Amino acid sequence: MEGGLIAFWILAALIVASAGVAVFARSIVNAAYALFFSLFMTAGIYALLHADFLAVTQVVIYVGGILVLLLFGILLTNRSLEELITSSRRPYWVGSAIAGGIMAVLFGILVSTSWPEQSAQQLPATTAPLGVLLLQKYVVAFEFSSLTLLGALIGASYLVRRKERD
Amino acid sequence: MISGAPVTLSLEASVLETLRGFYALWPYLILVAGILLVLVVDWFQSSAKSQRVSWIALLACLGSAVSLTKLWPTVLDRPVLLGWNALVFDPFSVFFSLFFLVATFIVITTSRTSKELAGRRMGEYYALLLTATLSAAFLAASQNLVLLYLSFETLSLSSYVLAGYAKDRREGVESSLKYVLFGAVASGIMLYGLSLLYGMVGSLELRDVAKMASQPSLSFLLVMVLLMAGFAFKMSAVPFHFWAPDVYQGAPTPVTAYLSVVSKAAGFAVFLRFAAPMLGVPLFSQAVEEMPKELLFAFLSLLWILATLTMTFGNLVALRQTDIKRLLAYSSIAHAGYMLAAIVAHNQAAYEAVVFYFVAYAIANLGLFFAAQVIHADKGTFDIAGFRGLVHDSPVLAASIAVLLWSLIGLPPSAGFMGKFFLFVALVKQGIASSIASFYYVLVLIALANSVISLYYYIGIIRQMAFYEPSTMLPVCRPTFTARFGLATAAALIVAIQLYWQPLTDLSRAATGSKTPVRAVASYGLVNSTPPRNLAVGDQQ
Amino acid sequence: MILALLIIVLLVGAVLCALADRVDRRVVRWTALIITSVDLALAIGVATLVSQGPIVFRLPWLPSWGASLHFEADGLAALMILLTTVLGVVAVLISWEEIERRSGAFHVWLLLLQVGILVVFLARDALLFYLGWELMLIPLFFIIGIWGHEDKQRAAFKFLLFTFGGSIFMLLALLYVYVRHLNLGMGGTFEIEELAKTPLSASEQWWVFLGLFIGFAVKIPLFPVHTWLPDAHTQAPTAGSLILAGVLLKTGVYGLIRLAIPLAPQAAEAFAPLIIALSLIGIYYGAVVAFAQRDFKRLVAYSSISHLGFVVLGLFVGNAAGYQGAVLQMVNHGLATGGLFLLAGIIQHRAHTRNLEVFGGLWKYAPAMGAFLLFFAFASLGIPGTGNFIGELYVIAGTFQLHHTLGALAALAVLFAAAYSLKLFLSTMHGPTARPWRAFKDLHIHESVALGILCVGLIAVGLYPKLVTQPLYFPPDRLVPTTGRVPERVIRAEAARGSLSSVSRMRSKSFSLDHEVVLVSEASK
Repeated sequence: MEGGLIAFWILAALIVASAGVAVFARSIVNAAYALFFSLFMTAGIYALLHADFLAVTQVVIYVGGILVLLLFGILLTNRSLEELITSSRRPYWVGSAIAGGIMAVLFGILVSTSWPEQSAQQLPATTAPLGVLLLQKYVVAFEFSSLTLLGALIGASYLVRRKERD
Repeated sequence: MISGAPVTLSLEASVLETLRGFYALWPYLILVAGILLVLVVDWFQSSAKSQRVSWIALLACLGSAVSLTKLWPTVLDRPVLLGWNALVFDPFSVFFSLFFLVATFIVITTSRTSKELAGRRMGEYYALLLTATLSAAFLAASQNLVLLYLSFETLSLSSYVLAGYAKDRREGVESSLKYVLFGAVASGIMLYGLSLLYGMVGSLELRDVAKMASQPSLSFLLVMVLLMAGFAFKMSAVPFHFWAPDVYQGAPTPVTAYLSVVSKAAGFAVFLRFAAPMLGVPLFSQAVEEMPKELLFAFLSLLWILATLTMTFGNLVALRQTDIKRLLAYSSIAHAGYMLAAIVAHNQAAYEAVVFYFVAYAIANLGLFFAAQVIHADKGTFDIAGFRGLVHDSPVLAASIAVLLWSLIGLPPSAGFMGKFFLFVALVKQGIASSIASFYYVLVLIALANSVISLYYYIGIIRQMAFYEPSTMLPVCRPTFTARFGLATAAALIVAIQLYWQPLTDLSRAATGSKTPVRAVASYGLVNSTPPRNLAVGDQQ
Repeated sequence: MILALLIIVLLVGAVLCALADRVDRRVVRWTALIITSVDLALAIGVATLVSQGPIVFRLPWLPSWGASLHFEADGLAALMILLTTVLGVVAVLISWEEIERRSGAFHVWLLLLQVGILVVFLARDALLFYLGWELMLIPLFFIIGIWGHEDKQRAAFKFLLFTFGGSIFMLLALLYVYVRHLNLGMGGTFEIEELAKTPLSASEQWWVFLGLFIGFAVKIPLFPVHTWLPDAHTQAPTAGSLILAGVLLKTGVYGLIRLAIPLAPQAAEAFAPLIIALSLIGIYYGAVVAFAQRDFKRLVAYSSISHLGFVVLGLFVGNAAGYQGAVLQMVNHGLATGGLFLLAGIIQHRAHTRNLEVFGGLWKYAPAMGAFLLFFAFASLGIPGTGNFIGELYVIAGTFQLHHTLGALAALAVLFAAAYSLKLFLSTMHGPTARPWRAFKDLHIHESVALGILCVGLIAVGLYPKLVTQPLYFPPDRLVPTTGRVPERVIRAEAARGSLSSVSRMRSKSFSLDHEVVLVSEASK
């Protein structure tokens, strides 16, 4: 299992590092690429946890779908790619102080908690049980999510419509 | 980690379990049908006649409400748990569903005459309104964290669009954007809390979460704090209130009324349900797990501070407002504070009081936003100056507004007074029973002092209406008969509740389950009889 | 039933006035006059019936909450409603010419104001009492704010803020007792008599009394919380000042008698020294400040603070004389100060000013008015023959019983009253004519009638004070102490009538009978 642990730490470091780049990058395109990397690594963590379905979904949806969409959005709307995102320094400090404080509190509390851990054993593939769960235990949530999507669609289509149709 | 392996059942049993209690879903299916029908019918209509689809929305609300009232005796007898324990229909959730439907019905009727919405396609509007109502109802009824979060998000999503429905108006779009940003942050924090919670409990079901509460752990308190972000956002309580004034001002008035009543009530409903087992209130079937004393006290202190800040901030800032919608936004923040204060009492009386208070608050707020809309329609302004000398324009309108404001102050004779009365009774009750009595009494005093502050700005409006001559710069307000009738009805209701509040307290009592004997969760059905699948805890032992 | 009728008549009257407004102003006035007269007749009926025992009207309201529409009139309540209805008629008469704008609404508020006051005087249900208490706010707020004088809005607002601010403490105290009673397991009740049976510890009583006392002290108003009164009085239209001075202030004293003392008798006793001190300060402060005023109405308003100080002093010195004097003063102050406010209104209506420095020599133009002013000013300073003399005498006698120095202090204050009363009379009626008051007309017939009613009342009380003191001991069965151990019921009854030290004496071992003998003999008179 040591190999898994090492892999986890590498992945975690990469995720944090690329997330940091995403936040601090001056160019929005660079930030988007960094985000891409971060999300991809997260899929790696899922894979490490034997959550095969989740890992694939993460890649397909976040990396393949959302980020590509994001990049397209940037490329299509932002004319000058080289334009830098500037921000004043002070909010950085205030923000980092607050964020650091919150992180310290969270870290302290989370470390002191005894988490119900599961011994790492060879788990079966999760796709089939997930499918069953979605149609059994979480069937209402599953069906309800269609309403969520419907709402989002209606809203989006209304907002982007240029003119009132007749 | 998936919470347990899927339940292995035969296909037949599985289908049966899915369909169990399905009849309780009828009211909501009617709403879904309404949403779809509104969209489809609107497609075949010209823009000018788009307002017609409101009839479908009204009918859907009505149908849903009627079938809910038919469900009421059933759930009063025995709560219905359905969809593999995802939803519970007990008097609490059915009451709130009904409450949302009635409020939505009123909002739809006021939307029909709104000038701010005139000339727009209304199909999407009504579809989103019904979607929001449905999600609010599910929020109040959800028993697992996934559904809770999904309905929370759906409610938020539709509210965002509704708030910016007048998309060509700058302030409308701006407020909508603010709403989205704050909403995203709040729901992000909440989601983080939910994931921590899942990690701790190993289950997504509320009843397992409740069991967790009995084990003292700091991280559970942390989770509660994180979740409060989401709830407070919906309640518009400090410190997640920043969106409220801008959104209330920028959104079309009927939407503002909707947000201030339905959305807020949904926030309170889900919080009340979520916190009930930890606060030691047996909200129907929920097993009461006593939180360890120190943890409970820490949580109550947090609520105490939130309540104090919320009402004081709301009232103080409201003093300086000149725009009626902004003023009411701050006032509604303050009212969230009063209700949070009642929850600090964490007893049955507090739950009843909040339900009662909400009805009183809703009548007043729906009425006042409608009045603002009526005045805006004639005078073209939301400024308080529009109320100047209103008593000369329309005595009925002015008198009704005065009664509604009176109720918000909490002065008798009005429903608002009784609402406050019950809030304070709950707190004093707890104070007498508790060893830290002043913890509760001081809160009562703060709330009372706040009502005195609020007197200032509410009376300011009454003063404008009664003491001044109407401004000659503005056109005369000539409300239609329907408008006057509607507002007079609201005012009459407010006074009637003061004169005879028994039905409403009976209702709030039934809705919070004082009369229903506490039943063990396990007695409802098939799935419940299996032990909670919390492998992790078993492993540790 | 007659009690309910008292209120129903007024409510119907309010509706009629609102309707009559569509016809004509005169119709409104006559309607209001007839309604208030009917009410006066009913009140006289109550006052006569009450000697045969208390009149009770009780209707279940919300039984599961222990709230009922419980009205009850005993001697004290009968006196108060009589005062209210008399002033009600006078208020309509005096508004005959004065109120020209929106007269329908004015009379509606005037009648509703009396509804609130009557509910307070009659309610034996704490919730009903509180409803009535807050119901008094709304009409007066509008009466001052719409029909008042130059600075009316600020005054109306100040009035509302102060009284509401005070009443929240009262609400909290009542609520506490209610929940405390609820916890006894006998079910909730708002019956004051039942609430009074709740066993409260000394510190609980202390807090409850404090809450109630703050609420009532603002209304009375006692010294540190009086500042709303001069503004409200000065800015209110005449009828508003009349009702405000005449009865509204008495609701505070009445609340002390009916609620604060019965609910927390021990605390009342503990608070007595403080309250006596406050009322003595109020007496002197009011008198001195009154003398310094230039504004007619402000002068009278400050004199009110002084007079109300006497009332509270009498109530808390803790003997029968003081108590009788307090009630006498309540009635007298209502009539005398009411009369002064009427004159202030009448003069202002003609002269368009209340500034005492520009008046002078008015007697020449309006001798009848002058005579009335002379009478009311004398009444206010307590000339024998008027009720005020008797009332102050009783209070001072009661205070002497308590302590000589205090008695002397109270007696000296009468001198101050003389100073400002005479200033009031001299600077208006006597002296050189500062301005040519050509258009200054003497009293109209309705004004004379209004003033006359008050005069007759004052003289009647002055010559035959038993009119007031005797009804105090209805129903008589409340005042038969048994020898030896005094039952709790009697102690409560005693407390309800304000005989504080007698309560303590009954409770302590050194129970002396002589005091009781006085009470009994007075009751049997």
